[in-house]
Amino acid sequence: MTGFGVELRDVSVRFGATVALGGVTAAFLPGAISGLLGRNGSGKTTLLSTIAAFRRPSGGSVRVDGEAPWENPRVLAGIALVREAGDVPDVRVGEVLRYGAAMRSTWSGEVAERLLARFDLPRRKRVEHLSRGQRGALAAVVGIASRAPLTLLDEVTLGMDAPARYACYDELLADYLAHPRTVVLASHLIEEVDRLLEHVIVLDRGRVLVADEADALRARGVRVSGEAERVDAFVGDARVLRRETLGRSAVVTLYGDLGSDARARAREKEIEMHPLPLQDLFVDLTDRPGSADRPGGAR
Amino acid sequence: MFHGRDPIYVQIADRIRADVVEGTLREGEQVMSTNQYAATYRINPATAAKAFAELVADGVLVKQRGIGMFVSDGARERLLAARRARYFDDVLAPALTEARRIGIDGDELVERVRAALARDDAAASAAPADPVPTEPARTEVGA
Amino acid sequence: MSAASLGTVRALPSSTWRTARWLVGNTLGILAVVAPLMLVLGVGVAPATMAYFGVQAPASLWSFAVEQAPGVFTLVIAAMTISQLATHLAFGMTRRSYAAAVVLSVVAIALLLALLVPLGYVLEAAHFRAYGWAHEAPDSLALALLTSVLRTAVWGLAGALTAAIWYRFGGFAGVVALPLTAIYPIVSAGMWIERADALGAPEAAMLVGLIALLGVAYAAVVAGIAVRARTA
Repeated sequence: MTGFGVELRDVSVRFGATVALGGVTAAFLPGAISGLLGRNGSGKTTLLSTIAAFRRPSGGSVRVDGEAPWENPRVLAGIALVREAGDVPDVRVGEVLRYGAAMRSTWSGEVAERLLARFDLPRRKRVEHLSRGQRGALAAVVGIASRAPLTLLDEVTLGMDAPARYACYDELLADYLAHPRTVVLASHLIEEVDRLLEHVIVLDRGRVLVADEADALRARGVRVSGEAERVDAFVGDARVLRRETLGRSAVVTLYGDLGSDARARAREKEIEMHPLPLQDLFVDLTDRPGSADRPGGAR
Repeated sequence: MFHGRDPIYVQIADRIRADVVEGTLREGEQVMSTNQYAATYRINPATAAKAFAELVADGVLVKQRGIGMFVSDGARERLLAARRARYFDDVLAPALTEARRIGIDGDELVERVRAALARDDAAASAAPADPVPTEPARTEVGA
Repeated sequence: MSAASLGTVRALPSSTWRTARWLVGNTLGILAVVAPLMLVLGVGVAPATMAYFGVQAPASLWSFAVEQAPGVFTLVIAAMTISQLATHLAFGMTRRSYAAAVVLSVVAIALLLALLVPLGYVLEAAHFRAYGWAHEAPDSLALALLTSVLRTAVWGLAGALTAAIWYRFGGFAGVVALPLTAIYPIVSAGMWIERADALGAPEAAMLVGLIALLGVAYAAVVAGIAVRARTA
């Protein structure tokens, strides 16, 4: 195994009366690419900031590679937190790369140069004069070239256009294959990052809703359709996320194991079963009607 | 590249099985490594590894430590046998259910099947030998 | 452990040293503009203007010029460094090494600016001679240089501390801490320093103590800073 693992036990973060994280217990496995998924304001940024020691938790414990990261030089030297617009010195793009090379022992100048060319970033332009997409691209360059044992990417692709986003995913994956490390991708563009993920944690209102292997998660989300009564009998006491009826037929989205004989039973009852794409599963898991205004904005 | 319906590792395993059955991957031939697969199809290597693990467990691939993965001897025949076994449940049974539902009677079905088989046989004898023998399945259906 | 698998790992000097070098390096550009400007204005333009209007200059104009200007300049530079803290942390370094680097860079910038002090007196003496004016320079230029270093460092650290208090505790605390920026004038008035360009030993010791105090306070404030979310 390579890369730093992360263990969170009952981690909470409060801002005054606002609870940003309400007791998060979770782990990011060393050497894996994990997805940290959640709606805006679900606590993704706060969680990553706490792991990278940008802030201290109000309660609970954070362990990175077995140690508390707060003011821990060895552990911090292995963490790279890249936020959307990037935390880079406000100098020329070329000098940002020099800063990276000077400050990070694991920095790859070769990767940085290649990515700079791939994203077509102007070397002589100052960071403050870059467009939003270019700033995002520069942040991605820094995140990948840092080759940190724990790389935390927080909505890095937000300001990029689609070709740049896919270039970013491809480059991340290629460099990860050559130099395995722990990567956490926080995103709400689930469809795009889906195939990169080995493990998934879904945050909702500052709590862990689901933590599982990505494939297991994909296998558990199922959409079942057929004659309403038969569907309901088939579903039994599985967790129903959504139920829609159309005349006498019903479409039910559910999450959980239906047992190994589910397919046979479904065929027998003339019920159709489809696995749910991660994106749809995420929407159904985190959607609550009338929950448009929720406590805890993005911090 | 991949559709969203099945887990990606299932789709990868299915594609490799199909390649073996169709002869694109020959027995004894080396398959791509997990990392090559991940890089080519832009997926997490753990997902590719999971597909390979499933294929090793099924006896389609064999792992040679430090060298790589190879299509195992007899893999194609085993896959064909498994497919034949599933054919009646997965393909024929739903077709018959549908026929019953929409009121096609049994005699008409049998008639149609015989006619279709006869036409295929004629086409096969006119054309050069089919590289993928499918006779066993046909005879069973015809019987 | 894991770092080894990630390819080439280079040995780097301590992060404090690297960061201090970066901070000073970033200031060199503006120093290259400010330092000649100070000399030209203080030693060249000011006496020339007085001579043009037929006014007799006091014993030294330069002693006024170097009394506060380097300090105020360093205060602004040091206060702005707080914006680099998030970057420092994002590149995997501690608040401790950041605080140490800022203190180090403030002292280094104070030293660079202090080098101007003796140079200015020498040039000013020549300029005054040309007008036939009497010129008075400190007895010891080395002591004037040392005095300038201490004075400028106090200004700079006061600026860094005020900005850190503002960043950590918010706008209101920042306003309350604002008088800190005037700590040098307050302290020097209390010490009854007659010639601000040539301190005695007790005053120098006091300033050294004050620098240490400001440095420790700065490190303590920075040690608890939570990086703010971006509002981008």
